[in-house]
Amino acid sequence: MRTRLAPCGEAAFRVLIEDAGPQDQWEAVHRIAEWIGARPVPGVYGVVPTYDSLLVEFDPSRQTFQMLSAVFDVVLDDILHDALNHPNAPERTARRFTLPVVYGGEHGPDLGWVADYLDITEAEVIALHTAEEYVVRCLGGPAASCMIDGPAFPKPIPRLPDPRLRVPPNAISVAGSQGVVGPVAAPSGWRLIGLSPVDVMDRESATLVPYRPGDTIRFRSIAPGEWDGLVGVKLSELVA
Amino acid sequence: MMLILTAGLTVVTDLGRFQGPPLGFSVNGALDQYSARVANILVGNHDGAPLLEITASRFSFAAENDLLIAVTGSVGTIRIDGYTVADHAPVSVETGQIVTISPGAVGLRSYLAVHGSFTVPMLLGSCAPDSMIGFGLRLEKGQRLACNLSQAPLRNPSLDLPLLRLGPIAAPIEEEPHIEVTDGPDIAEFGQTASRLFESPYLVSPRSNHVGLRLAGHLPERVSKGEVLSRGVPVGAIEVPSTQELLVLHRGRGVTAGYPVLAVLTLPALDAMAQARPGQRVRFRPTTLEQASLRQLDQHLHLTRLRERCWEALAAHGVGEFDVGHPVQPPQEPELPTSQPQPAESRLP
Repeated sequence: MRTRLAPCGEAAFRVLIEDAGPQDQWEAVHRIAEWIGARPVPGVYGVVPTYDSLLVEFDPSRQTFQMLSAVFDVVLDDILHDALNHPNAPERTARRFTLPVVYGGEHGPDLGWVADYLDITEAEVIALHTAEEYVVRCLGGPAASCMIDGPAFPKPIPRLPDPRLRVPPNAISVAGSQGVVGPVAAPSGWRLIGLSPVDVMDRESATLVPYRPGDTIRFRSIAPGEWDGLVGVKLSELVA
Repeated sequence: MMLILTAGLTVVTDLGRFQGPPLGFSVNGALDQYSARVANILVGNHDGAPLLEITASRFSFAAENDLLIAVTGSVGTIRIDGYTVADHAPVSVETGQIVTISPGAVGLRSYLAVHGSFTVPMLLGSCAPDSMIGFGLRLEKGQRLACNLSQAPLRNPSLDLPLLRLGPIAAPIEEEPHIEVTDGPDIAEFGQTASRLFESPYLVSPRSNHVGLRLAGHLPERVSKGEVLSRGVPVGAIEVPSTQELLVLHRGRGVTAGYPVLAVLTLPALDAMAQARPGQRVRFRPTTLEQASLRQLDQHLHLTRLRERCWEALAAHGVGEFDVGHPVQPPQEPELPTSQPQPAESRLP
């Protein structure tokens, strides 16, 4: 495993993890993000970690790519070396969320399409989607969307040819071999299979969404009749 | 207090929500960062103090106490009770006077800062509107905005007239701006077509906003195949998501995207892009990372000198408080010697 730094303009650069499998890359990316989050570098605003890379954003009146790349070369070596010696020493404990979902119908208009595409029943799609506990891979755009791996579908799911202009908040969607939970109303080209009555976003909380990369989320299928009883509940209350 | 008489398209913003991206939220904030900083400096504020961003519209208010204001960016005329006053300069407004700002002939956005700034709702350390999460203050007619400080009219000690000479500080706004970019991390994915970016002008589409600007022209094409993993994407990234238009991401961009990054606008180029109107043409021009970094340090020095000269002059005219208006402390980190040098006045009790 090695790291490569690529400039992204004069105020950001990308850290790429190379020569490693996807799981090792992802673990390294988030270990680096946790490390830098806990020990801020002067002039660095923060990092955006995803799958095989991090975006580092900084104040270009205080730092340059050249200055920071020297610092990061040393720091990254240290972190990855530390990771080899302490593979099971996460910096924080993972939390486990369970989100109730009404699948199909008006709540998940693409459920039928996904079932047809996979040549299985809607019930089998729901069974596959609720079978697993998913690791939160990263927080993506828009608005800290919960990015997870897709269910064990037999093949990847194509995106919508014409993206929807508005998908409601608390939407559960799939595309490619990925899944997502969207905290806010937004345009989306993903296949919408269900909605949750539970609010993913809590504007009063410090981080607005309760999950962090490395936490896990599981979906629980509920009947449309259970919707009203769960309105007003927040995802942060549904932690194991 | 400011009583809003004509709201136009005006929001309260600041330099951005810098804590946002690591948590998955857009940075947002003033789209023309230079003009926003200058407006705050001219009234003795902290660079990051909340201020107004007026987009392509007329804005007017009645002052309900004595205020010190400055207007920067794309400005037509500024009138106080009908008398024209200077833009890009500190201006006193007395209780009861009406200030009217009309949009400029070129450009799109102007910035109005008030000495002491405003008390407004904050989210993750910033008041910048976020259209995705539905946060932010957009002004409406009849609304009152609470100003934190009153400032008696500036008087020259010997002439009893305002007298500030600050030199040229407005960034020129061009009809067909040159937009400087550095190579993006994924430029290789566009092969030989990457250089098309510099060969002919692009037309700004009306489907452009604070999230991104869409531009029509002779488009570079992605020559590589295969899925692109979602990655953190910088403000200023140029992507080619369709065969119709290329996309320049601005400060409202989602923090991750699955498209290769062809090039990245320099920060001055992002400011220029914030002033580009739909239907206007822009030309991209390559620069190097070293040049772009030097330009940033130059601008930092320029703003530092402006701050020193301006605050010295303001202090001589009776302004007593400086570096004001920042509602929260920035995240704690060690100070570097280059950061925020301040004139002696601001350190007086």
